[in-house]
Amino acid sequence: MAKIRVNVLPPDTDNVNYHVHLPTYLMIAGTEEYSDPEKTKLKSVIVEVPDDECTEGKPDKDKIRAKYRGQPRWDREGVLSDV
Amino acid sequence: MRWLSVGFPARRRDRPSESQASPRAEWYDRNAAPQPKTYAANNVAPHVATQRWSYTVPSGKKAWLESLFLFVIRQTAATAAGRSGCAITVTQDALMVNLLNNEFTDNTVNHLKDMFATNFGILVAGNVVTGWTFDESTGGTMGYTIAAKLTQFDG
Repeated sequence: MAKIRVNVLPPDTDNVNYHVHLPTYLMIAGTEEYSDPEKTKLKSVIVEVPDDECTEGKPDKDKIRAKYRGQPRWDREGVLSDV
Repeated sequence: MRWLSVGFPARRRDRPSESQASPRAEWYDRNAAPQPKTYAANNVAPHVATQRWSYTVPSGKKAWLESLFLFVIRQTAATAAGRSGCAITVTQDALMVNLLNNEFTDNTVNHLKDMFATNFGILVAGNVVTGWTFDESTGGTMGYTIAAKLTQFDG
């Protein structure tokens, strides 16, 4: 598993709450970075990502598109642009 | 049944060393790989629902969702306790289903609640399993564990 710091996306119009836009990830507790002093707005966090979705420790869009081929959310142009 | 082998061809059912040909290996013999997910955290402040982990079934694969475990504990009292807890959902396309939801509003320190369930069945390519935490309280902190055991295999 590769460990990387990624952006956390806020709640959006699809009513998806704070999340990371990766197909498979695991947040590591205690690594959260917040954008407000009250610590209510999560900004970034370190996550574990499967090795077969990474190249040199970073998410690889080509590997993700291949692994999730045919799945509209991941097999598309612009995937990972908001990670 | 030694006498059967003398002079007479044994029937198939009398030959235990031979098995009938199987058209396809069992799921656990098709590159089965465990996909454990566990998020455990202490003294977490109130927050809106947050997806702590996510697992998407890759193309060409399936996954057996074997067990889920949820645990929540109040660690410091809130000024005003709201709904708090954790959950595990599965999503197919845009449809999300709550598999297990563990929440309470008790403001007693060390009050805890856990849930455990098994054998949720098969997930197909594109299904997403997600572990969530949430706390609508004002002040106070909670501890959480959200765990799932999945086994992924060739579809």
